[in-house]
Amino acid sequence: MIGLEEIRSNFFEGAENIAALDIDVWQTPFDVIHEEGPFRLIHYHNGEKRYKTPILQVYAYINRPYILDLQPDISVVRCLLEHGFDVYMIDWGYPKRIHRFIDIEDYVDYIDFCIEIVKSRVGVDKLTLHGYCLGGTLSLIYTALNPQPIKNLLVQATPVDFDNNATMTLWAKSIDVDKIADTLGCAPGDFLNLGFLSVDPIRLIIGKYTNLVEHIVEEKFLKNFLRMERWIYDSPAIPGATYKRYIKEWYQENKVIKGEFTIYDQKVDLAKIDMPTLVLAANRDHIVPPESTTPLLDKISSTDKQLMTVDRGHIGLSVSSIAHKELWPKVCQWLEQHS
Amino acid sequence: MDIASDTESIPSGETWPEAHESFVETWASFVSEQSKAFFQVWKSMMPQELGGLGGDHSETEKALTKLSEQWFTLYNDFTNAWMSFLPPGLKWPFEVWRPFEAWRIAFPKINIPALLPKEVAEYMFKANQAYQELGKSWLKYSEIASVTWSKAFERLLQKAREHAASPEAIPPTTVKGFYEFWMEIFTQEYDEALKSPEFISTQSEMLSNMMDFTKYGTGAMEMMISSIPAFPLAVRSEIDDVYKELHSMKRDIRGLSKGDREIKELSKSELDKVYKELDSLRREVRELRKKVTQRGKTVERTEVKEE
Repeated sequence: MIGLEEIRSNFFEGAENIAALDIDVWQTPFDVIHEEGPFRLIHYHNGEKRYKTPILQVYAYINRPYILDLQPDISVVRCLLEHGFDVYMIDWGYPKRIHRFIDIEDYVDYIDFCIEIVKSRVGVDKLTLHGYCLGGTLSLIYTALNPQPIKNLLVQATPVDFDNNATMTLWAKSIDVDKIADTLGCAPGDFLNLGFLSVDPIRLIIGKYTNLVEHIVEEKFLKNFLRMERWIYDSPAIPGATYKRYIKEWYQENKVIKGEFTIYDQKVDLAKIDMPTLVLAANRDHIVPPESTTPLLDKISSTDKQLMTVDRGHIGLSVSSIAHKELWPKVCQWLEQHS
Repeated sequence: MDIASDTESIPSGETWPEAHESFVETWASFVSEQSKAFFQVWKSMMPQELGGLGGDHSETEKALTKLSEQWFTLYNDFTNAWMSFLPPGLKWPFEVWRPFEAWRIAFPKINIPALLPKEVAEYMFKANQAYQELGKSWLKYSEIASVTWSKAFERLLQKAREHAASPEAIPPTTVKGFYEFWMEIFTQEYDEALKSPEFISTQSEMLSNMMDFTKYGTGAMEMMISSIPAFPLAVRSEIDDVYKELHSMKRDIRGLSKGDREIKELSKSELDKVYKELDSLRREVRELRKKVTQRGKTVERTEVKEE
């Protein structure tokens, strides 16, 4: 912790530094393979492909997927590419009012469509599906309904059991979601963001910026801090129809784990998931606590299933140096053995 | 100064505009004091070369004071002009709104087609009501936040006292240590408060009022636009209907494309079956031909031997 005089000098010097910085995200180059409304499928440029089974990453419809490729030196995408995997990613984009009727079924349909594209491009029958956060829940729903094209399932910080004591869960259970969705059309990104920040206001609103003032003169720290800030406040809206079902049927009625959630009137039975499955959880995750993720292991029928954890938070699972030192090499090893 | 307790000191039931005037005066002095205090803090943050830390800011301060005085004069003039419509002798604060409330009830009964439709007044009234409710829930929300802050502060002091009294305890000796000590206590206190049923219900209430305000405000605007032929504009709900139709058509197309793909795949696999069948038949024919040829040769050889 620094003194007042230093804070003052850092404050002005830091402002000069920030003004001069270019905040770049999406570190690895990619091609857009397909676009439909706000959705798009991207393919990362890679060098040597050592494994035949491609990976399709399904990100959450909250926030942007470049958190998996935020910094040049710490990036999940780069880590996978460097290990010789062929990586595709679904980006759900920025839904606008015209997209307010997009439902969870449309997300699942697009995953199916993208899997077909990847299969025919690579010339394989099966691939590895990598779901992150709510993208993981979508991946589980898809896989339970269509297990055939999925060779391996990798889910990261994925909520499955929504009946927990996390602040976000308690809040979600009490809101009148119909009123919000019907009034606003889509749940605005800023509105959702405010919710995420208010969950832990002291650390996320005060603590974070105190830390910034302390290290503002260090260029690398500042750049990474601003990349993260850009990501945090780059929140897309959630289509109203999706928001309704997500809050009502996932949070309030906890239908996913109970096997009561339906897609086109078809029940999603997690026991239909029988392929090798790797579950990643962060011990200090306030948004999706481990107790929301780990019950999945008891529900699926896979015989080859594993849980890997790291002592970090929801985002730290992807962007912390600890996770990239301790967790991701093991994840890559698991994928190598299964691809 | 505690503004809440000061506004409470204005006797309710006093005739306006005296009560309103004293309310404005209280606010004016509060804002002026607060802006001065803020200015002092800001000044101390400024570098020496920009005149901070003892630099002369008297002119800026004077300008600020003048600005706030001008603002309040403007506000007073405007309010007085507007409120002078009201019948005299109304009591502060609630009676002041009574004539407007009477008009709200009267307006839909009159229902003059040349004016706006009565639904507009209804929507606007509901929006106004929601706005007032929103204000109330916002106050409750802020109160929980500030009470939590005070509680956390009390806990911090208590912990500090415990540290001082206990010979085993190691008190934070650095600023960073103290900051972490503070951070831990405040995070814990807020975590408890944010999970409390009182906070959760207040937050939900506030959100619900916010949505009502937006919904009725939008409803009033839509009704106004729809009722005036001079505005040939589609309103949001009409556009939403188009979006809904579009989305449903997109889904149909996707379903049909998927079906088409599946049929193609199916016919492809059917054809594959036929090819397979044909291939096995060919193989059978080849085998039979081979056997027939071999048998023919054997018969020929037997005939030659017999000769």
